[in-house]
Amino acid sequence: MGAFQGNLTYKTFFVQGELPEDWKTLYLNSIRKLEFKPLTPDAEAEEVVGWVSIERPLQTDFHLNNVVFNSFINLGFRKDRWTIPSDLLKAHLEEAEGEYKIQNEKKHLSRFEREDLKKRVKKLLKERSIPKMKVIDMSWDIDRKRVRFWSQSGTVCELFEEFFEETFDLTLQPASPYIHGLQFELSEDELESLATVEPSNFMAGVPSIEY
Amino acid sequence: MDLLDLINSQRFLGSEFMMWIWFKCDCYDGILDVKGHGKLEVVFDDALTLEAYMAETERSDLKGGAPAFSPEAKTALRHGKRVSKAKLRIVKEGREWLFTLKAEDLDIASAKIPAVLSRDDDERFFERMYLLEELEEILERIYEEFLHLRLSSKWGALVLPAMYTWIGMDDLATPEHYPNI
Repeated sequence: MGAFQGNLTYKTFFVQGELPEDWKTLYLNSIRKLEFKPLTPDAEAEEVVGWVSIERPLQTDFHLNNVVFNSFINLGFRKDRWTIPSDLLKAHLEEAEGEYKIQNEKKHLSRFEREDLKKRVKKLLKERSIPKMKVIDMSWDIDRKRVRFWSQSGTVCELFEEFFEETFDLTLQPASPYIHGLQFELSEDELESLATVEPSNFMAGVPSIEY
Repeated sequence: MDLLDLINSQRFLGSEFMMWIWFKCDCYDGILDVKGHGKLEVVFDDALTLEAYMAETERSDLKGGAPAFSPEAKTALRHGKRVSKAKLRIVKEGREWLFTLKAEDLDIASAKIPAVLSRDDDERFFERMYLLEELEEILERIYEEFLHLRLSSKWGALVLPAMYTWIGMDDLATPEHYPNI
C-alpha cells in the first residue's frame, strides 16, 4: 500500500542502465516469469517473493493496463512467509516424538529421526494455517529513472533490490547523500571532493560547556 | 574505494545538510529562496532527533512545540550531536508538505502532501506522484545548493565559522548571521 492511498513512507532507488526499445513487452514477460506463486505446505521454502498486481494483491494476471501507468511501472512486491509459533511447534513436536518412541519401542531418537519428525510436524501445522502475507507497492518512474518502494526496512529493501535486478536486468542504487550528489551536474573537482570530503568539526569554535 | 564504501562513508553529508538547513532557516526566519521554486517557507516542525557522531546510542529525541528553537536542541549541538532526522514543513504557494527527513539516506517518511482532488484511482495515483515529485525536486534543489557550498572552499572559510557562532548563540539568528557568499 502507499502508491494509490495511505502512508507515504518510502525508499528511493535510482535506476542504472538503459531501457530496451521494446521494454513494455519484454518487461511484461519478465514480470510474468517472476509472478508470485503461493507457498505450499509440501514445499521446502519458508518464504517466497513475487510480483502481484499493485491494486489487487491476489492477482497475477499481468497485462499492460495493470502494470504500465503512462510513464510508470507499478507492481506489488509480495512476500509470504510461514510463521509457526515456536511454542506451538515445540509442543506438537514433543507429542509426536512421544508417540513415535512408543510405536517404535525406542528410548532415544536419532538426529535423523528427530529432523524427519520436525519436518512432518511442520507440514501438518502448515496445512492448518495460512502464511503471513506482506505486499509492498513499487512505482517505477521510467522518465526520472527512479523507483519508489513503500518500505524502509533494510532487509525488505535488500530483498526487493535483488528481485528487481533479477526481473529487469538493471541495477538499483539506494538513495543516500552520496548517490543523490551524483545526480547533480558537479564539476570534476566537486566529484572528487564528494568522494573524499571528511566530516566537519562543528565543535571547533564552540566554547566548552561548564557544569 | 567501491561504491558501497562511498555510500556509507559519505552518509555524514546528510546530517550536515540538515544542520545547514536548520541554520539557514534560523537566519532567514524560515524563508528560503530555492532555485526554480522561488521563496518557500521551510520550517522545522515538532520533532527533531540529534545523535552523537560515532556513538548513535547517545540520542536526543525532542518532540512537541518547536524543538529546533529550544535550548535543549542547542545544548545537544554544543555536545557535538548532529541532526539524524527531523520533521519538516514546506509551504509553496499555499500548498503544504509535512514529512520526516532522515539524514543517513535523505529518505522521506510519513509525508503529508497537499490535498489530492482526483477521485478516480489512476488520476489520484498520478496526482500523488506529482506532489511527491514536487517535494523531492524542492529538496534536491536545496541539497544541490548545500553540496556546491559544502564542496567549495567557502564552507570552511565562511559557513563553518558562522555555524560555530550560531551553535554558541542563545538568541535567535538574523540574516546578518548568514555569511555573505
